[in-house]
Amino acid sequence: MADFLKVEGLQKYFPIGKNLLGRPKQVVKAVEQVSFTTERGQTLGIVGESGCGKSTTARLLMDLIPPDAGRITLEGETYGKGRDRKPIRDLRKRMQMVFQDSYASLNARLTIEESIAFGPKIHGVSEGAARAKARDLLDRVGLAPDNFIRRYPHELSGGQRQRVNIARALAIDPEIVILDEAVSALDKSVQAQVLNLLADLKADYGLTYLFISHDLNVVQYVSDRVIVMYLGQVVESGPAHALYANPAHPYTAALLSALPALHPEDRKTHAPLEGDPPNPISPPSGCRFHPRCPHAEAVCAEKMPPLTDLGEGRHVACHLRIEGSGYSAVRPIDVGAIASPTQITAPS
Amino acid sequence: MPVCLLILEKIDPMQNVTSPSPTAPKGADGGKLSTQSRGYWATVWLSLRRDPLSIACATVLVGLVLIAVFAPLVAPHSPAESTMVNRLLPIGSAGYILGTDELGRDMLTRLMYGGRMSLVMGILPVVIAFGIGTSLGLMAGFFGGWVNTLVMRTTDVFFAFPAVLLAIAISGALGPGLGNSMLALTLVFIPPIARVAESVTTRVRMLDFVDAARASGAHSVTIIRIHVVNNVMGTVFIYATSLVSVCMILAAGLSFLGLGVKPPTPEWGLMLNTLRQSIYVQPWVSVLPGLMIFITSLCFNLLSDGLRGAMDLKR
Amino acid sequence: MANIVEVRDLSVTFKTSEGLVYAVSGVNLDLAEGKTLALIGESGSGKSVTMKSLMRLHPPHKTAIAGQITVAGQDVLSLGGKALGDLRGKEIAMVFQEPMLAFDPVFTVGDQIAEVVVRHEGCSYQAGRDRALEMMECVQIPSPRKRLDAYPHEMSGGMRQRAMIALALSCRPKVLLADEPTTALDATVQIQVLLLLRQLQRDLGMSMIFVTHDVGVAIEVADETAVMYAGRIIEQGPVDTVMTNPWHPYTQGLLGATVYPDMDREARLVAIPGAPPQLYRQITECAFAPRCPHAVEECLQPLPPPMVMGDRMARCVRLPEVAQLAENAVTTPS
Repeated sequence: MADFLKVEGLQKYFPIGKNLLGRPKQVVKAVEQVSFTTERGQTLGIVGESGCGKSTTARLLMDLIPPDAGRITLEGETYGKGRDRKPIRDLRKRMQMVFQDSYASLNARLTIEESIAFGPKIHGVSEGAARAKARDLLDRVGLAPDNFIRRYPHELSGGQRQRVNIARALAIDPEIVILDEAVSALDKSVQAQVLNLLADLKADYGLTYLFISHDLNVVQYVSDRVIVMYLGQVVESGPAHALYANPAHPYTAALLSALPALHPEDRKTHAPLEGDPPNPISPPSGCRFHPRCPHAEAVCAEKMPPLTDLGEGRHVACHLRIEGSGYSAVRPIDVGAIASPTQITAPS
Repeated sequence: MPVCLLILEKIDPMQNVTSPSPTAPKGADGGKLSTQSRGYWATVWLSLRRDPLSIACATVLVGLVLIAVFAPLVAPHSPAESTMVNRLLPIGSAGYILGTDELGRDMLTRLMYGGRMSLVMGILPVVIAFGIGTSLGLMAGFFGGWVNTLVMRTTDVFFAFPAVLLAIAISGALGPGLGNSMLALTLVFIPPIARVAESVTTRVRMLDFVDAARASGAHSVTIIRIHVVNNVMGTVFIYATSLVSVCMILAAGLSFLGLGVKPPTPEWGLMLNTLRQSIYVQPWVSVLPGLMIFITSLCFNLLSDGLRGAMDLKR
Repeated sequence: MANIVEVRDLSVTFKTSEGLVYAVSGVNLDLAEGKTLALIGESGSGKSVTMKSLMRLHPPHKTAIAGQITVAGQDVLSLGGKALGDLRGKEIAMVFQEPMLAFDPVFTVGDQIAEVVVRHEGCSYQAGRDRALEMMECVQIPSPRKRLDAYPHEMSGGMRQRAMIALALSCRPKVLLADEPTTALDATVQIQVLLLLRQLQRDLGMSMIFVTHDVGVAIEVADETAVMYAGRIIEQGPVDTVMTNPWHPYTQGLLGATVYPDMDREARLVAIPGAPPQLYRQITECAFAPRCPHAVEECLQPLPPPMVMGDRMARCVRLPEVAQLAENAVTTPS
């Protein structure tokens, strides 16, 4: 099956401060050579710690920040800079986004109905039809329309606001929805409601999700495939079950073992990593993870490991796993050792 | 899981309106209001109505405007009627409750008529500057880049001079007269309003809902019109309200210097000027125009403070 | 074992422009010396309010506190200004969620720690600096001598939180209050700070109250746990039994709503319907009843006193039955 959404070489450097000639003094390598693919109707999870570039990636895809480089292919149509490519802006009709801060992402001076109807109206839907659509979507996200259309955002709870934001994102019938930490700010009981809602909507509308989160458990629960980012780069990608069961990159392994226990008997005895993630302004040489990596060798500081295909849909950027990388004792990972997926369909 | 049989239900609005944040003592949340829904301005009005100081100030201002508008009907004398024998009568004289000025004209009448010119000169330049300054600030803040540089550096030039000096200089260059002094005042107030509008716009532009609107494919003009203007207007409006008092004082100053209204037109600033020489003869009468300016600007300032509080909706 | 913290019938009411908010109503808490208690609850449950009451950090003119709070033998609610200042920092100290806001940005971290030591122990500035260095080593900040002269913004998030802990512990308090100290941190840093707190608590023999919304975090650090909902403690007991066999339907729901590793993707999450109640009125009945799957008519009657069985407590009208229902339930994977 051809890839539905294919992102190649997405890149964004943010200049910091400019000298007298207008040249930037320093750059933050926020997103560097990020590539991934996803299939229609699937959920791609993007995990990583703060500053890893996962949110910037989302904004680059929506052209809210113009990318420095990269191209995006959606069903054979190529978007991006350059000739023969449509502007990324055109993706906005097919791709929508839900933000983390449910309050800031709604205009406080507009009613819920006006906020949801805004998108359709932009795309030429009549006032009446847009309002009807807003009512329909409110009903769909579990908010009784008669009680909510005339409300203002500050009159709603966080969970309700996030439902409104989801309705707003669906209002122009997108095929792909980017969920940027969309449930992270919600209380656990409300988070579960919204996750269930997202699963329902995905099944009903045949949506494709890009689910960006720092919460590994939630990402595992919702995702078919997962990519792990560290300091602006993809360090590992693969089917969710395989990646979680048998992480290839030491960083993925560390993230997983840093999760708090869910049973008192499983309490952690040591932290998997020392120190904080480094500053993306001056990232380490070679493999960006090497200063914190328990397996680091000289080669790791010199050469940046390429994202290498391991088979079974898995990729990793780590000298430890790549034959001929110059690492003293390459330990290839047996991707076949993991049982084939028991379920790859979307949760209903 | 026996507990776990419940699936998401349609939510009852009454039980579900909430998520109060009592962790913050002032977490008023607005939730209590939400069993019924109100518009933004209705909420602001409700909150303003519970602030006695603001209501008192608004009442005084409305009263002053009404008196000024209906001055011919309520004034006991004609503003030009002067009797040299009755010059500089003290407050409380028979027939002249607030005394008379240096030409024997009734002070009460002249204060009533003077309100017309003073209020117009205090409010009109601010209103015009509000329109122009907000537009400039919105453009500069929303588009950033060279538009911002152009607008903001131009306003910086105006900031190089103190407001009073600038008003006098412009007014002086244009020549005396009502229209010219109003134009001068307008020009003085555009830069500060533009600057406030620019900084608020820059902040609003960073909010996620503007990104969300852009993501739904809206053009900049639509986004500014629907999403930015109403979020910027409030703050700028409050600021402009506070400028009215400054404008009144500046207008009075211009008249005082002979650059604004010409005698014998009654105007508080001009009256203060002409009564200046009589301050040793009738001190109380002489300060009356100043007192009016003081009360009016104080009321505008307090009202703008009250508005600021009322318009600050917490989450 | 003696209780270092005793809270009896604590109620906290805030005056807001919208009326009174009954943030905490009738909370009882005991913390034994050398133990860690996790106060679990969602936003608005009153967990942070309870914590701040222990140090009387609420603005007095807007807050009414009733009940009794005893910390290290002192009646906190009757203390005057000077005595209260001595209590804070010396007997009881607090670590906040956002250390960037807790530190003054214009002073170095070392100076801020030294200042606290000088204030409480009346020693010289140099002695304060020495203590600051000792504390920075204690919280395992690398090259502590250099970091003493760092400003808060020059440190990374995890480092700042360690410095915050150093500041809180600089006068050897008997009780440490930690208000979501790891919520703002990245996963790999969160576990470092949790382990550090656990180790310091053990080494220094402190008692700790740890406020969190994250069940996993509570399990990592706590001996005892208390679950709060709408201003009340609804369940309390040793963390291992409460988390593996919750009695109260809310605790059951909270655990059911938590996504755990290797969860079946086909399984729906067990969401608690609705949202927590408004606290603009004093809720006398069970506040969870409107969202509770087991609610019956009598749940709307005034709530009976807590039911205590052994080392556990829960406040539920239908307790024996509901706990029975949960007996065989698998709420967390083990």
